[in-house]
Amino acid sequence: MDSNGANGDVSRPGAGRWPLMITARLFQAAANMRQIDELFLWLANVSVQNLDVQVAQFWGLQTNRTGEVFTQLRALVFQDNSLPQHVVTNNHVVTLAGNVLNQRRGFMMQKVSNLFSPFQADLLARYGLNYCSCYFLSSALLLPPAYDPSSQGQLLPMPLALAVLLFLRQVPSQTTISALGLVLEQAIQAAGTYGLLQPPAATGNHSLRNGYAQQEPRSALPELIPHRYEDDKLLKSSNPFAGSGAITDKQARRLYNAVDGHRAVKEICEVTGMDAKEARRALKILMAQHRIQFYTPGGQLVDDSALQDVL
Amino acid sequence: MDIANLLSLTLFFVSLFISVRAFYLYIQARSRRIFILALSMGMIALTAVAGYAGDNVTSISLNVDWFNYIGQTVSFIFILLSFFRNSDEYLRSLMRWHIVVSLLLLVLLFLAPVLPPEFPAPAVTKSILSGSRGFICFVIFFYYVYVFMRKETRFSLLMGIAFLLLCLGYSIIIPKYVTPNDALDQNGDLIRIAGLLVLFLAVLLPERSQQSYAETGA
Repeated sequence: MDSNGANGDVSRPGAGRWPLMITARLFQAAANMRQIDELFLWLANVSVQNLDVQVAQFWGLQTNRTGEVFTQLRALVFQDNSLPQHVVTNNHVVTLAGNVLNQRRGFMMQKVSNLFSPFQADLLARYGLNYCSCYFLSSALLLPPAYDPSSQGQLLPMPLALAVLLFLRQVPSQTTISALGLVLEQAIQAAGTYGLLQPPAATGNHSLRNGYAQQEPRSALPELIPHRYEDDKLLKSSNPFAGSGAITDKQARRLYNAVDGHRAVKEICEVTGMDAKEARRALKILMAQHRIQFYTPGGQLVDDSALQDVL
Repeated sequence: MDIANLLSLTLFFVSLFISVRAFYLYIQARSRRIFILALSMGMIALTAVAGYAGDNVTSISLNVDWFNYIGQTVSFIFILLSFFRNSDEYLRSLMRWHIVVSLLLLVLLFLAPVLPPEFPAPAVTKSILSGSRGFICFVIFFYYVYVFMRKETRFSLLMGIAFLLLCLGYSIIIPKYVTPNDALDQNGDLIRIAGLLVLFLAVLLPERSQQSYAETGA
């Protein structure tokens, strides 16, 4: 991961037009990129060079073959290269990024003293990093793992969840903040258009062989944890005795009984004695009836659209 | 048959009907909210039986009022609490607590022959215990009003009306604990019977297909 870059330097026209110009340059640049991290780096450089951002970071969620989900820094750009890297990549900042990704919600401009411990806030303030803002971006498209020859094949793509953390010396205008948010959303679209993010079907072999004990290494479904989802309208605006509240399929009902919010799919298969095919069928029925939601072992909600192809 | 017995019978049959249907649906759907409804209505049916026995069995002294008042209040409270959140962890925890509390209420019922016949400071105690049922029904009524405002369905309308009538029925009888008043007592019972019949209608009628009152003009 490269933390310095000269790409993305655009002139700064009058307020109101620069988002359009940046978006136009964004699509031009994205067409020539080969990896998503290049796009992140480009965006980080735009933020730093044109919006007076001192530090721009792109944090993403990544998963490996064992189903572990962790926060990974995908791009980091400093306005001042003399700033020590550890100031903005220590555990405090990682935790903040992780929280944003888990809660799937960013935050507007805040003083660092409101976000970090006094020690970390003092450290940041010492280097003029007085404010922090965060955008959260998500998509059903898959974020490929960061390019790293040593871990090649160990990391798996997963639905995009991105936290864009910005550290600033002073508060910029509200227009600037809003416009940057729009540019970031356009960037995700551009990434999808130019294949920098993978479509959900492009994760290789999705077929599950018999027996989750010998799980297909490229499929994360056996590791996912289904949670029951109670219909919000039940007994409130809808009569539970008049609708189709029952789970008519016996296998789906048996599997639903085994869902406790802690067991992964493969454990549920062992408990119920179902093979992979039966489990997939039952899960598909339950998903179609909106009775379950899937979470990763790290607690991240999985988009239903990402599972359509697997089930 | 006097009105008090009619109320007990109506309460018993309506509650038992809903409880049995809810338990059957729970077996089919495994919805925790439905289980809470089933257990609550079952407990309320039991209070009806206890109330009938307390009024009509004279060979032994049965102070079932404690069980009746607290049992009904607690049952309505758990129904209300099941509305607040949809997460499985919350509903599973609520379900467990409901089972525990229900078992404690059964202990209270079995102690009816040995509990003291009179409440301490009966005017105040009975007013509070009896009035608490009306208060919870009032809260549930308001909740259904809120639900109806968001999406106008026949079910939420009927449920709101049912709990409003139950609330009125429970509230009207409170003065009788200070000064006995048969007219108030009977009126309260009649209003509660009406509320129970509306409740029965609400769960019995099939759903309209995707139409709200605003659309149909009904």
